[in-house]
Parts: sequence; structure tokens; C-alpha cells
Amino acid sequence: MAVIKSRRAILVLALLSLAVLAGCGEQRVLEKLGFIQIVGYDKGPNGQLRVSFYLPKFGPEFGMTKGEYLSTIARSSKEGKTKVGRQTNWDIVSGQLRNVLISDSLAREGVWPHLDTLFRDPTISPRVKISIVEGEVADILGKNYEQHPGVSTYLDHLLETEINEEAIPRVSLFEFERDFLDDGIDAVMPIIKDAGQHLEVIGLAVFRVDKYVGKIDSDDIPIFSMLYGDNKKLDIYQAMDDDRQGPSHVMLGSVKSSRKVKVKRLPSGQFELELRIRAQGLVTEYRGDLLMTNEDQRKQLERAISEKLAERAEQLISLLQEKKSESLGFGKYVRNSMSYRAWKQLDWREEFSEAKIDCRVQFTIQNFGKIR
Amino acid sequence: MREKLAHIHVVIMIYMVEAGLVLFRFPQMEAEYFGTNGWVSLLICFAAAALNILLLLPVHKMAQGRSIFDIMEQSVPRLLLLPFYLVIAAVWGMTASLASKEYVHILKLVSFPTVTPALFALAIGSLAYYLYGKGIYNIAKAAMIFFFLSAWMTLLLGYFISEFQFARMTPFLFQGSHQMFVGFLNIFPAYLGFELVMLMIPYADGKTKLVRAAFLSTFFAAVLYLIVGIVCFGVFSLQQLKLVPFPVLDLLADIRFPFMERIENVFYGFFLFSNIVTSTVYYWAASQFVGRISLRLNSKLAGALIIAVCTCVSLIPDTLMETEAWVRNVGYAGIGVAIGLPVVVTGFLLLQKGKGRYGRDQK
Repeated sequence: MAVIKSRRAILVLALLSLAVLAGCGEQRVLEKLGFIQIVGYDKGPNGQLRVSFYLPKFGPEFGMTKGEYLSTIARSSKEGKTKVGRQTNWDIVSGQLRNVLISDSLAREGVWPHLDTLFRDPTISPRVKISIVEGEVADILGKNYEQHPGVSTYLDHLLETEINEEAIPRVSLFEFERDFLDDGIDAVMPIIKDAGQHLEVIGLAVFRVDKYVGKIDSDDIPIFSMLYGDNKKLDIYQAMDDDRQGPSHVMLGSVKSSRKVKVKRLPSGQFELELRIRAQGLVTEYRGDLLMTNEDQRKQLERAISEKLAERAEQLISLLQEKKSESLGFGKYVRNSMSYRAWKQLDWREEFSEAKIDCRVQFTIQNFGKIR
Repeated sequence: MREKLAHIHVVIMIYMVEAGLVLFRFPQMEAEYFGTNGWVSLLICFAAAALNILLLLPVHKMAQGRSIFDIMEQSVPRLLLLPFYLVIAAVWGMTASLASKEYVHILKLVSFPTVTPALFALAIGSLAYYLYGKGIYNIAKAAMIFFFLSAWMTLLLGYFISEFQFARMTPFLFQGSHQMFVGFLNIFPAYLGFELVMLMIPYADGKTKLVRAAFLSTFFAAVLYLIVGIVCFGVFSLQQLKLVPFPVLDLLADIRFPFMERIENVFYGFFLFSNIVTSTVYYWAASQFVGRISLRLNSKLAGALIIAVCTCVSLIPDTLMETEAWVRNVGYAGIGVAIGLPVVVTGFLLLQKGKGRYGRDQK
């Protein structure tokens, strides 16, 4: 009996040691690792890339505000990583990558070939956010924004806040890959710019296939969001026609919106898209003649706001039509309205650029705040 | 009185055997082979599985508690059956060992790029042996616990409600499909596992309702696959789904928690539970055949032999692609066994019934 017990004990010990020793196979010592949190791509000389990395430094001597900026010229992202590995004493790893930045000049030539490694490398999360930089990425990563924590934390928090506030749509590797590969929609990315002491989200880049072809100003992003899908809390500044007091405007807060798309094909073969947007929100600022306590006048204001919003929406769509970028995803509805074969034979981007768009907005004021 | 398997234990155990690693792969296969709304193919596979389960019904009804070995050996000398036993033992043993091997390969892809898969495969083999050694009753009870440890993850799918878009699914059925039959053969093994109840006849009584249990577990697996399939087709675009080899891993990776990054690594770890049940139950089934090949082998030795041999053989495919090719081929063989074995046993039973009646008539 004792022999059996001791044999079993030895076996259990052997199995335990197997489990414990497995941990020695691939060691990751935190102090020796350099976590890439931002990777950036600029156009380099001779068709190469300038690949830049930002690694925060951990430990009491650094605090959380310092980081290391590394940059090199390489033919690909991973070659760049290998090259900068020779410049630093860290073991560089990609598992904590949070943001990918691409310069606008590079994005105009097409981004898909440069993103292969980001989709392929299993250590890189599909949640990594991806943005365009107006100017050079290297300039941002190499800069010290004194009022803010290290650039990776600053940028990440900036984008996350904007996404949570619905000021910009969430664009991570997953969303970009999904929309790039869907034949009924083109991808978008936020655009960031170095504004001296700060970074600023200045708009939304719209793509045709994988090329950056047009920019929507940040003021118009809420309008884009209304056309793009359902929203819960948009903030929209809307200039109104001048009245007796002079310039008039209204600020709409916590706007909830939903869109409906109806597809028709006219006898000429041209597509007609009927967009119906229902929105409701608060008036958080108003300068104008109308008295919102008066129902007629409030309705009048609602109508005026609705018309203005529809006007802006149509202008935005015209821009997309001009750029032949189908970033609003109407193609998904067109695809679903016809046979598979007819859809496959259709050049939707071309058709979209000539489609007739009828956009109507119905805005309802939920309340107008503490004063009448 | 000898312990008998409880109905619920068999349902959960077979469910755990079925709903394994294939969860990670099948949305990609559906998109690749069946194109738009490829998830519908799961219903076809489920219908086929249900028909296959019907084949088990006469075996269960007519066996009257006898094991399928007793039934077959009553009509044919054991010696002639040995090659047949060997083939089935090999198919099921390899199904078990390759399931672990594939798990390890995906683990290597996700978390441990430089570790040798053999080490993990051996560790999982040892775990499976320990569970195997406790016997089928305890395996069923362990499966129950493992079920509760891993089933909660199904709730995570609720996370994707906000990302889901019907417009993305398109109204087209199976457009852009190719080699749908191959696709069917590749997806159907996702339902395999129910055929193992044939071996549980001696361990069950009337209350166990084996065939009903097999149907229920396959039904629950189908519901799970269907939900996962629909979520994938509404969250991924079709071409993306074709491109990504393990869409469900990407889905898990999309879940955001403020306190932890890369949570999918943790979730993947929980799948080890269902993987171990799959392996252990298949090893158990294979060992029943091995034990019949050599009557001198006791059950523990038969298990150790099949686990050791199959684990070693599973080390031959070196890469993930090779392993997947082996998994596919063993899956095809598994389909053959799932259909062939009940048909053959039913044949023997009918033969014996006929002979029996003939004998009585003579009297």
C-alpha cells in the first residue's frame, strides 16, 4: 500500500513539475520588455516606410509620463520593428499596442498592404485603434506634450473619450478590416493633427477601397454619424438663419437618432435613396427669436432645425459622391434590394456617385433647459 | 446494484464532446464553402445528424442491455472482427488526440508562439488519462462540472447585440458558395459525438434514454452553433469571415473590459475543459475496442495504450495546417463510423432476431 501511495505521489509531483516547468519555456520579464503602444507609418525614401514606435517606460524612475520614441526606415512594419530592436535595450513586444497612426500622404496611396502584419500577428489585438495623421506621424511621436501624460496615454485617452462621447465612430483594426472587405461600404478613420501644445481630432477620413480620398470636418462628424447609423448622444452645433437679433444658432445635446434607408431604382436605371432620419434631443444653447414655450414657435424651430440638418446631410453626401466613397454603407441596402447576380454586376461606387439622394430629417426638441 | 448513467449526465457529456474546438473554426468554413448566410448549412447538418441519431434507435431498442461487442461477436467470430475493431479504435483515438493537438496549436498561435506543442499535448494526454482512469460514470460527472465552468461563456455573445447588423447578413442564401458537399463533410463532424452512446448501453438502464440524450445534446449543440453562426454573419462581413481562420477568437478579442486587455487569452483557457471531455470520452470509446481486441488487457492498460499511441501519432503533423488536414480526414472517417457502425450492428441484430424466430418456429 505504501509503495502504491509513494508511486502516486511521485507521479503527481512529476505532473506538477511539468506544469510548473512549462512556465520556464517562454519567459516574459516585465522589466525587460518594451511594450509598443503606438506604431506609426510615414512615407520613407525610395518607396520605403518610416516606421515609428512609441514605448512607455515603466518603473519608479520614469513615472508614467516618459516614453521612448524609436524610428527607422524600413521596407515593412516588422522589418522596422527588428531594426529598432537594435537601437534599444528593451525586448520589444507588440501585445500592448493600442494605436496605429498612418500619415495622410501614405494613406492616399492605399493602406491595406501596410496593415497585413497588424491583422496577421496574433499578439496584436483586433481592438487596436487606427487613425490618420495630418502631417508626419514621426513628428507627433517624437514630441513632448508637456501638459499631458506620455503621448501614448494622451492619444489613447483622447480617442477613447471622443469615441465614448460619440464624437467619432470607433475604428479599430476589426472595424476597418470588416468594412474594407465588405462590398457595400467603405471604411473611415479619424484624422488627428498636431496643434502645437495639443493633439486634435480634426475630422474623419473617408476611403475609396483602401485609399484616403476625402475629409469630413469635425463639425460635420455628428451629421455623418446620423447618416451612418443609430446614435445615442450626439452634440450638434447648428447655425440658423439670421433673425432680428442678428446671427442665430442652436446647440443640440444628447441627440438620439435613427436612420432608415429605402432604395428605389428609377426607370432610367438611376438609384434613388430615401433617407429618413428621426432625431430627438435637448436644446442646450439657443440664440434667436423663437419662444420655445410657445408650441407653434417650438414646432417652427424644430422644422427649421430639421431642414438645416437635412441640408448639411445632403452636402456631406454630395462630397462623398464626388469622391466616390461609400463610407455611409448604403450599398448594403442596395445589395439587399436586388438579386445577388445583379449586385455582382453592379459597379456600386460609380452608381452611388450618380444616385439621387432624398434626405429628410425629423428633429424633435425633448426639452430646452432651465430657462424659458 | 451497479451504478447506471443518469440521463442528464449523458446529455451534458455528449454536448461537451460535440461543442468543442470546432466552434472557433466553423463560421469560417460556412463562409468559405456556403457563402452568404452560410450559417443555414448548420441546419442541414443538424438534420443529417438527427437522421443519423435515428439509426441508433434500433440498436438501442433491440440490444436489450447487451454491448455492441456481444451483439457482433454472437454472429461473427471475434477474430474476424478484430481489424474492424482496430479501425474504429484508431479513428476515435485519433479524434481524441487530434482534438488536443489542435487546441495546443491554437494556444501556440494565441499565447505561446515559441513553445513546443508536444509538451502541451503530452500534458493534456496525461490529464485525459487521469480522468479516463475514473471510469465513465465519473467522466460524466466531471463533464457536468466542466460544463458549468465553461458554459457561461455563451452569455458573452450578448455583448455583440449592439454590433450586429441584419443588413450585413444579406438576404441571399448560399451565394458565392463552392464545393458545398466538401463544406458539409467538414462541418458535419461538429455534431459527431452522439454515436458514442452506442457503447454506453451496458452502463445505462431504461431511465437513461440514451438515444433521447444523444438527440438532446446534439440539439443543444446545434442551438449553440446556430447562435454563434448568426452572430458571426451579422458582426463580420462575408469576405472578412472567409479571411479570418478563427472568427470566434476575434469575437472574444473584441470584448472590452476596463481592467484587462487581451481577455480572449483567458477565455480560450476555459475551452480546455470541453476539450478534455471531448478527448477523454473518445479515448474511453476507443479503449472499449482495444479492450476487446486483447481480452487480457485491463481497462486502465487499454486506456493508457490508446492514449499513449494516439498522442504519439498526433505529434506527427507538425504545423497547424497539417494538424487541421489530419483533423479533417479523421472527421471524414468519423462520419463513416457514425453512420456505418449502427447500420452494421442493426444488421446483426436483425439477423439474430430472424434466426431466433426461425429457431423457435422449428421447435
